[in-house]
Amino acid sequence: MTRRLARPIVVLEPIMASPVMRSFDRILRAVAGKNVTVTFVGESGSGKEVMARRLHDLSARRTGPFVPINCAAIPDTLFESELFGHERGAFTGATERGLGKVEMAGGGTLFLDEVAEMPLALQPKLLRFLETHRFMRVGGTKKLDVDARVVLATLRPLEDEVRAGRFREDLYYRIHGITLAVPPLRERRRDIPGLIDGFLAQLSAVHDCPPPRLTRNVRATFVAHDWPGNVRQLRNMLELVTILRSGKIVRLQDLPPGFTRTSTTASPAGGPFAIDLEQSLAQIIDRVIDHVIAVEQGNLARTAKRLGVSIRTLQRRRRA
Amino acid sequence: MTLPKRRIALVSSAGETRAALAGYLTSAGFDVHECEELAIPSSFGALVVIGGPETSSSPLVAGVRSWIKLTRIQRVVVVTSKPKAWNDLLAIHGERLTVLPAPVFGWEVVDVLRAAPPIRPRGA
Repeated sequence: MTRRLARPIVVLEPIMASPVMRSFDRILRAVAGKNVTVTFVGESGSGKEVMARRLHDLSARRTGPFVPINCAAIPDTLFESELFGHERGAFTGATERGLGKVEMAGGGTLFLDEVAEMPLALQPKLLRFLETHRFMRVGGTKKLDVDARVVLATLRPLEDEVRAGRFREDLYYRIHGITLAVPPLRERRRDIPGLIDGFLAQLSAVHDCPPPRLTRNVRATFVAHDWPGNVRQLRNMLELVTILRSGKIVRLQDLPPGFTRTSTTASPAGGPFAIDLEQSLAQIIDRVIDHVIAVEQGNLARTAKRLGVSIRTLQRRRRA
Repeated sequence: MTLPKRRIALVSSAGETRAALAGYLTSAGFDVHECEELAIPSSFGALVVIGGPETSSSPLVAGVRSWIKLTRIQRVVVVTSKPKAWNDLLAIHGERLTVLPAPVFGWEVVDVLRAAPPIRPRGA
């Protein structure tokens, strides 16, 4: 049995069907109107940025910009300039004045993701900005005022970072006030069916192909699965089945070998296999193919049949 | 001449989606005018189009193509379940056209509208 796919066009709120998320949303609504710094703590892929965006939308700042910055993605040497901007001539290559994210977020919200990764040397400047809402561009001499709300997120408990000497204690206490824990997907299983429908619709649009049709067993397995990589892992899995089983029925045996081993409702379909979330989708697909080839002892016809693709598609993929 | 960046036209058949998105964009600070057709005066800073299962030869794509040529300066954001249908138009007018595969969060539309740098009309 398959379920008809819902086809929403625009989603105005994150899916919050589970009691724990409805409760979380009530807290978000209560906090949104207060001009306070909020820190989201949660596992990788649990949707911290989505919740930060929701907080922005619920606040009076929704008419202003939402400016995200991933602290783990910026080299230490560029961090200050990226955050606070720079004046012309501040450093080699600074041929023009550059606005920083803080300035861009004026009237809105600045979202600092993975704040535990912020260079220690820059943390006093962030603390000063949080306390005074004033800052200086790199190479500048004038203090500038900006009305931006700062929202932070971390996947590692900041207490541990303070103890390890990687995060300043004074900054920790400054941002510790309102800390909201984003529940992992395994604690909000009732959200999973809605997420599946939304992702399948979007992924079939992205890849320009009919969505796969998940059997009731597969849906139940997805709901029961623990998803250590949370929403991001669920999306990656759905992208995999969208590519491999477009327009076809997806049964338990069509899932990547070993996927069901960690689920509570299904039996394993192959040997041990784990998806590494750090890998690209192409790498994951290649690993799945290699694994099935090994399970089928090199028989490409049986491998292709098991994966639901033609031998030609399989060969082309292996040559890529 | 500068266009009022926050005055936008929302083109879609009337319905819950259009009304809900119009409400969302209004709450985000945009002056939203809902309409069903593309015959729009050029006083809008941007055009948001809710597509359907269109093809590259559908009237909607042709309408947007002629609208882009006619108005010269506005941004167009299309939300569609068939993004590929817009590939040809994107190849020519990629600077002014953004195609988002549905479903999207309302804030993704907002971010595209806000990120669009102002375009100087010819001769300005």
